[in-house]
Amino acid sequence: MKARHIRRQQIHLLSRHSNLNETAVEHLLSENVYHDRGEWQRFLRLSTLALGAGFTLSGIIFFFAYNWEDLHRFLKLGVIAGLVVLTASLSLAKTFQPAVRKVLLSAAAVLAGVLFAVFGQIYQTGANAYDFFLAWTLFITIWVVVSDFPPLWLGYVLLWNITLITYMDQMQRQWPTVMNFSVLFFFNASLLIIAFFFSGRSAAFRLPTWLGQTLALATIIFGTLGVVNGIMQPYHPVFPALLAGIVVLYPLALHHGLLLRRIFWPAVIALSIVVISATWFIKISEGSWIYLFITLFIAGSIGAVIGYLIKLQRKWNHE
Amino acid sequence: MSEQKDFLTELDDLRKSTWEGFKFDRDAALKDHERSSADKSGLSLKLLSVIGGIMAGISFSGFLGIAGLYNSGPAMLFSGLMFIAVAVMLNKKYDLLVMDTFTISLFIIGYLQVAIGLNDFNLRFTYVVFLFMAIAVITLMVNRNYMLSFLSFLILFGGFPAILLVEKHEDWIHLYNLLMVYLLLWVNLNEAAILSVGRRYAAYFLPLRIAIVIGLVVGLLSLLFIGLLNMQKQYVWLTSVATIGGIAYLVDRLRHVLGITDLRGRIMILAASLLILSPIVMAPAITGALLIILVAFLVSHNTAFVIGIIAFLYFIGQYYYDMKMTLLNKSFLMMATGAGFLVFHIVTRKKLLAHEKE
Repeated sequence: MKARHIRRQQIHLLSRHSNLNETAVEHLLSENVYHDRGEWQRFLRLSTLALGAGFTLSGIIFFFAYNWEDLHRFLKLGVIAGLVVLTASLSLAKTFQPAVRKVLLSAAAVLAGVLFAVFGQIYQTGANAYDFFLAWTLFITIWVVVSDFPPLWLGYVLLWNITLITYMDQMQRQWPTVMNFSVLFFFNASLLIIAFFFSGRSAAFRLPTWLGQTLALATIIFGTLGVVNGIMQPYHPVFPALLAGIVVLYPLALHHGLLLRRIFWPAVIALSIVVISATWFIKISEGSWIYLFITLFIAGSIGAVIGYLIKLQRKWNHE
Repeated sequence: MSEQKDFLTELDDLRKSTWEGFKFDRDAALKDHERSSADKSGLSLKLLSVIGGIMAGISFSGFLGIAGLYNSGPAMLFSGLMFIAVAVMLNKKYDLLVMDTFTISLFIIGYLQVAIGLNDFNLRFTYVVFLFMAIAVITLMVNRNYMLSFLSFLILFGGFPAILLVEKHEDWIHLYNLLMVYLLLWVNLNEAAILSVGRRYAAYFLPLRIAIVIGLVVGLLSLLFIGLLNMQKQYVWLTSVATIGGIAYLVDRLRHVLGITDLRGRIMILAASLLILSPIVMAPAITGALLIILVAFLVSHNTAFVIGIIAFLYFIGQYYYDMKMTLLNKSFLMMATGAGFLVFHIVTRKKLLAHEKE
């Protein structure tokens, strides 16, 4: 069954160019777009379940939150450690559907972090935040690798990024911003390249489109912010390295996107280049008229890019 | 070519499910589809267009600021109106996604200039809002573009709460909410009628229905700020009349789904709904969000559905947050509510599963 919103577009199109009357349109909509009885009942069934589980779970969590201060420290650690063991063990049980098992394992990964956090809070280890994140990240690595669950992979990459960010914030305060963004750019870019290289080569690992795009988006954002910073701030030796990285990565990513026929890649790269160019214009000029020029530059270049991409998309659709 | 062939086949399928006298201008439809398929080119291009427009807008504002053009009110006003007019007319002439960036930027920048220009005249805020709404109405009449219509509807709807707020007639927000609920139900339940009236009105349908949802959410959100504004807490239930009334109407319309069509059953369901929703009479934001979810599900409006769910969860959270109970009692209340839903689920599960298989 074709997606509802496409059906709806088609019905709208039909009604514009035909002699269909209101009753006929209503009939078409009811048959093809609106949700019918069976779907409503499924909706009611699932929503009562979700609300019931959600409220009960929240209630339990709040109950614990209320009493948390008064619990003995072993009880606190015991409860959380117990939950970690429980969720991890349950994820091995074959009676559950694979999706449920993966969610359970992800919950175990999150709870491991909670365990470390509570430990740090109880014993006032005074650890830097980055120690905590590093430990959390390292300890769930095995689970992440075996889970075959892309959302968990995303969480893992996020954790690595947070670890890097907190490390730089706490241990390397003397680094200029451009350095920070460069580190993040190179780290994520490496992950991106490795992921795309191995995806599909072995049966075990396949990178879903959305994950690759999200990772690429983050990489490009870090890269763009890094270059913008590099332009506006005093010179730092890492800047040429960053530029080199971008000069290497962008064409690769563009080629990849054109090969896969996904508009996302050229669109994001184009936006990044426009932003970088605009920043450079601001740097090399003075006075107010440059902003007028930039306005026209942005509107013009993005307009041209969109026009080109639409043509490209039409070409792809017709083949 | 394959996409065109797919499209034609599907149109033929749909055509077969209508009646014999059906006449259909195939070529016009295909041309229209070609043009609009540029619009449904996915999120990437739409976002690129919007982000580009915003960036252009910001840099232009920067230019205005630095160049000191803020100084002349009448000049700004005139320039702003020109920008809006050019945006609307350009868009009408070149109905392409390519022009959308340009025209939307011009449109927004135009409005900003008008606002700044009017500052000089020290007009009452209300009159400024009326002027904006008038411009929006004219835009709607002249242009059928989705984005511009959507922005114009937003300005039109958003003007009302803005005026009420500034003129300190905050309690009338309940009338606004009543209107929005009515519009929400009317527009969504009469899609076929609106489409059949004529091309102009049909073109308003899509931007209008999402603008209504946003307008209603804004109205519901403003109820959360009762403490900060001068609203009277005791009138809050007025909005509830609208939202719970709307839900009751919708539930009745869904009676075939529930399998209850006799009069006695309908009255019982009505009473049950009112009873279940009565504890949150003083929190109409929750029932309002629930209404949005139900309407969105009925007509398969995914964006509104997601907005409704997010709003629902947020309003419930806010409700619990504002409750004057200890954390312990709140946790018990939550567990009790959860248990209630689960019981309801288990009781109706068999019946619903059986019907689902039909």
